[in-house]
Amino acid sequence: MTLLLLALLACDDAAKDTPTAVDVDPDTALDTADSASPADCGPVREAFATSCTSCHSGAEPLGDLDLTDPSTLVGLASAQAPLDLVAPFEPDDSYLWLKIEDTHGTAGGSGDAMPPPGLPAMPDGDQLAVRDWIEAGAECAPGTQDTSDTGVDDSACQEVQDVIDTHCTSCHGISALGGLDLRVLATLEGRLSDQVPALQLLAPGDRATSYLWHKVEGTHGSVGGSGQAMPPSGSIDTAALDTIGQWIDDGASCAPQDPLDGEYDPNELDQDSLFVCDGLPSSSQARLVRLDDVEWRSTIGQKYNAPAASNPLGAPSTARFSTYQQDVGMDPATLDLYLNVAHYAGGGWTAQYPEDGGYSRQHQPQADADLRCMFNDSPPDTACIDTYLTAFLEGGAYYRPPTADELARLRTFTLEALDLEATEGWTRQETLSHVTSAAWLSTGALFKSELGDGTFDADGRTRLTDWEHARLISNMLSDRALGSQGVFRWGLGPYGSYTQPIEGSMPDLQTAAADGTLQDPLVAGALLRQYAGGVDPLRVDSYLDWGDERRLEGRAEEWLASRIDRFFAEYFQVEDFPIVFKDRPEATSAYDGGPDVYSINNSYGNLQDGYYGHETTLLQQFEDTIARIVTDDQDVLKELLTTRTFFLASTTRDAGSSIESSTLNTAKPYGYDGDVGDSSPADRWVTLPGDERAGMLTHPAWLATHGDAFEDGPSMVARGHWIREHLFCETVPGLEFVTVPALLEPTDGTKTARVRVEESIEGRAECMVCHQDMNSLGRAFETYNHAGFLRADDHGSAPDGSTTVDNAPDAALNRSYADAIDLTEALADSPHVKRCFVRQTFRFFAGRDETEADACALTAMEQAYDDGGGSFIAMLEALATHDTTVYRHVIEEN
Amino acid sequence: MPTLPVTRRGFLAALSLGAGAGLLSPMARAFAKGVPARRFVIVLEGNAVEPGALTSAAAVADIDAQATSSVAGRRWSYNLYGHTSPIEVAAGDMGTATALDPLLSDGSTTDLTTKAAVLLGLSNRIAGGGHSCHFGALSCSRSTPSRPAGQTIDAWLAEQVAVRGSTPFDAVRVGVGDRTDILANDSCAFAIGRSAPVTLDPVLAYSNLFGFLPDSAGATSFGRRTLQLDFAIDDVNASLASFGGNSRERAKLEAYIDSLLVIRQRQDDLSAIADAIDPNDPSTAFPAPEDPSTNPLFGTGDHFDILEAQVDNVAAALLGGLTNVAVVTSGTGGQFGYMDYARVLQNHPGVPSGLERHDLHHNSGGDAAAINDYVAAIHDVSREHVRLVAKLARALDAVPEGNGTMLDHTAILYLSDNGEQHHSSASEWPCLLLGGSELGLRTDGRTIVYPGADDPTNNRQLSNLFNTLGHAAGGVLDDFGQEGETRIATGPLSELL
Repeated sequence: MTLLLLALLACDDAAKDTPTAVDVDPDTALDTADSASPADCGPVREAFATSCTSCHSGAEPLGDLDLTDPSTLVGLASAQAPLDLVAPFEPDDSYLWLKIEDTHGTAGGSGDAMPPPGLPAMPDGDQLAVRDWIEAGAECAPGTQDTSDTGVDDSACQEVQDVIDTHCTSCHGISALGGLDLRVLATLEGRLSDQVPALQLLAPGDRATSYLWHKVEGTHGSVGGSGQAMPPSGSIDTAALDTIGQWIDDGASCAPQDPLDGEYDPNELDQDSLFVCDGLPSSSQARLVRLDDVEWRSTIGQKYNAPAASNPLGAPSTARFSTYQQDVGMDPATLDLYLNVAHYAGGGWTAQYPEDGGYSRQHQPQADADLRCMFNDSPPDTACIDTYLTAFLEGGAYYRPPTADELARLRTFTLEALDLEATEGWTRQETLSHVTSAAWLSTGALFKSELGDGTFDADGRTRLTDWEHARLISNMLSDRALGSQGVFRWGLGPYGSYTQPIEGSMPDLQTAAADGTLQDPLVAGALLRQYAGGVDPLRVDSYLDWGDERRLEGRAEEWLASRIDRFFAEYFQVEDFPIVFKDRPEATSAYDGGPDVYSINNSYGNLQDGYYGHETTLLQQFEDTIARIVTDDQDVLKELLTTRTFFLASTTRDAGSSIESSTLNTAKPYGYDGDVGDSSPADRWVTLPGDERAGMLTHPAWLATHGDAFEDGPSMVARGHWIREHLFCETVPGLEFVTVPALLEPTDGTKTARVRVEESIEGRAECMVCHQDMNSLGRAFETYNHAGFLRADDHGSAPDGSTTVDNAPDAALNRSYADAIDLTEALADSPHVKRCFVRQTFRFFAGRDETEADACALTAMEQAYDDGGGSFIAMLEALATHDTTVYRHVIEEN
Repeated sequence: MPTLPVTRRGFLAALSLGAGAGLLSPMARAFAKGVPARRFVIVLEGNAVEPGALTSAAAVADIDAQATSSVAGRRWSYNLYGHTSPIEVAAGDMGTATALDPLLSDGSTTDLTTKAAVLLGLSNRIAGGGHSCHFGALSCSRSTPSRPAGQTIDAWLAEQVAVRGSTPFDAVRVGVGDRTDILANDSCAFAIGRSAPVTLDPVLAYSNLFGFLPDSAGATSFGRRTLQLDFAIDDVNASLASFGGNSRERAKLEAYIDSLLVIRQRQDDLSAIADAIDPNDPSTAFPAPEDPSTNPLFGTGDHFDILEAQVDNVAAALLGGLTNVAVVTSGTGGQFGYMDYARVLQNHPGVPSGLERHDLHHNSGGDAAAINDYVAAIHDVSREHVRLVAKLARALDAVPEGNGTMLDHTAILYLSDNGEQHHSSASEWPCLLLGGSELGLRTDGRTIVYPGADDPTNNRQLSNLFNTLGHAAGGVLDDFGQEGETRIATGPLSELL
């Protein structure tokens, strides 16, 4: 018995009784989109299964009440009140309903409501189903969910399904490998085999003409089939095979059942069809988007290593990108942890010079004289309070003008807090910390609105308000909301040592939202480009990343807005580089066994954590290299995959110092033996030999993050996996579906990674089902070791990056390659790869997977990219101003 | 949008919440003393607990009787096990294992070996091995550092009604790592893709757990939090009243307000506990640890001090009835490399002082048969963990409960997060199990050695141990994890129940 347990929950609130809610006549059965006919007790059975039968079922059901079969409840007397459990047509006289509704006490009942406190309340839809069912007569009509009335004996089907679930659905389940989902056999009726189209997968009454049977029996070759027998890990036992065969011979019958909801995978869509625009009006779902962890701490002006950075608002790790906030509300565990850090959000607004000043000192509270009454007056008057709260909400919490209601609620709270200040002896700073913390628990602070202005056009679309659109644009670019306050950096901030003007971040965008000019796509596009990036010797954009200005000398001058930086970090999946462990980073390189090994190891560690000196980490070098490519904004994708010029850390800056060991050899992972100077950023740009490095996939950060802990480990698998998913937009089933010991055979240390992978993986059919999509692509990178160094000797052989690809979605890529450079240059020229890049860009910046309805937006993005000579910023402009982004619809969805 | 008449949420909102707490009678209970419960504590040491550290002399002898080669003095030996059925080593000399002597009585403390069991031979190869199996250790799944592939056993236990009871916290997850992060997401998970954070800051953990106490440093914050939650509830209700999106989007706000109510209710539950404390009656005192402001463990920054502070936090939470499920992590996931064990290494002059965990293991070599100064230090690190586990166990054992003590109603499990060695193959996961006799666990000093991981029929897996804990929790948990076809046998370990 597994029960999901939370403390007290409620299922509704009084707000649902307000006139804005759909009125419900409790005497009228409601027909919701998802409910079956009220006479059909299947939904009721399911409701009880969800919320009740974990206790009320089995040989000794709790309270001697078995809720497995609703039909048995009719006319049954309650043991707690003088009512029947279910009185047909009379839910208000049905004790079972009163228990669910928690009004049983008024009917003389006793005990807790059901489900009891501490367990999740029955979902609203299920409650409606129960009530509707009682109102309609509490019947379980024949010919509905009761399979015995359909004449179909589902037990045999279930028995076969059990076998399939055991042996097949780890691959042919949610991930639907090969496009085949076997989780519901009933859905296979009439389906033809992809491998032998003349055969059905299941031919009722004849296993001999059922392709699925042949596959599990291993006789598929005899009927013209292909591939391996199923399951690839070994045959199904004889008894289970007989079960399947007999079931097919008996008619292969299953009770009707809808397909299970699976995870939507946009990679299953035909890519070319996603770039055919039908010209129909576009829009996206109206939604709320909760702030994530980086966005929250950046917006409130906290550094990357501040306590506020350790907040629990990160996106679920199942999300493709951190910008995906689908179904992200706030669960109790997240809220519990968030409460620990919420007070940091208003820190700069609690005093003119907050005690924890420094980088948290924000501009407006310090500089705006109109706010000082709130810090100093005892007590402040209402006008002062309103001025302060309005400024705080606009520039410190909501980043838009608050509504009258929002302001009124916070005003009331503030007045109560000031009363407590007087009686409890709080300091003013404590009082304002209390107020600002409360504000940062409100929906206006935690959730960004993309709901639209509420007026719908003929196509059912509502347009984003100007402030919603402005916030959206600001968050396409930056982790900091428009209007977020600048922070104080003595002598470095360009605005009186502050990093932003008093109006806050992106003032021109704020102005355009306020005066309505943002509605002009040309204005919106230009503002996006204005704030996307550029060249800044001061690197103001990095001020929340590093606390020591000496770090700035080591950075490139090119910069990108933080969300664009984040896109590339997430796209290339290099965020974990600082924490990956490498056994002997120099192994098999030219430095292996040499005199500099100790320093190279120290330097490599320093490239990860940046502990010593003030030069860039490898991740920052990765970021700055991309920043130059994107600020140049020509042939961006091609440059990302083929550039020979990289930004390195200086090797001379700390020469002769006590930390030299950790800084002298930071260029070695690139294979660069020369000095990298320190007189200017220009010194740190290095062009590497064309046959050694080409593009970000040969950058040590990418190679290491997608590399094993050991040089002879299966790095090629991770690298090939990335290419398949991020350049081809094809899905490799996740590791949670791996139920075989996924380890290389132990080594005596003499074998290369290539050999180990060949021996351990490529001789096993059950492994190659997935590995065929990865190994051939990743093998090209075996000229580099696990840590990103160029190999010089690979266990007595020359480094070998040769590979043959035969299953790329772009047929032009199916050929042999000499090495990674050969491969990446081919990838850079692939139209399929380009389109996949457009799709990945859409996904991150739209914060969701694309659908076929987004074809016009994708087409516009590709067009803008091409028209701009391979311009990434133009692609973002196209997305930011497209109807898909600007217009919203409200449609129910599964 | 269909609506319902006012239901539970409206009912609660209409109540005076103080009175509401009284209506919920179990919540008004002060705290746990004397009330039998089912408790579970998992202590997870990152990057290896070597089986040799938990193997007693008698166990060595019994293993050797069937082993292909002697296991005496070896660090790990699963590949030498020759037995095809579990070896049950009689109680008596558990304390001879190099890391287990803290269980023995020192004259003034109880002998915990009579309430302990050691399990050797359990495998968890689905978790993949390496420096850390991350979430895979406690979920028996193939997880990555950033993505749990299954629910961990602590989350499952915390969901059980029979375990949760009426405790305010479903689980307490605390630990120590080698970085300055406050939270770690690498060991526990609510579900696939949804990690359960571990609080690495002991002061924060203390404040979260004990801030409700009237004289604690967190008391004022506790009171303010209640008011802030009430404000937020009103605000979200207002947003819901005018919400214009579809039901899926609305559900985000619904989830948020549900969470606010959960936390809000807990405020009341904790306040009820505080209200039951009579400063004139010591028997009603809440067993909180010494305040961080004066407690040296909270201020040194030493990793073992932090770990001990967290163990003390957990002990007090259990003793005070705040939770019945706890996890304590020690350098797990990616936070093991720079763990500093100064208090242990000072006793090993053959090991350079200041050597951190990764280098300590690396320098010990990878030979299972080689014992050197580094290996002794490694085992001593595990011994120090066992000492802290024993401290927790003795604190519970000092409190009578039901037919025994709180320890008898608590199962404490100590294990690693990756298996048997620094570069693990996840083949053997040595476990120390303390307490839980009143939960049905046969922790009577026995050592059970299961057939090795290379025996595909007779080996048993960590998931079987978690099944056992599930049964001890009063549930029926015959399957757990994501092993699929690699699961050898479902169900609990009969040698333990």
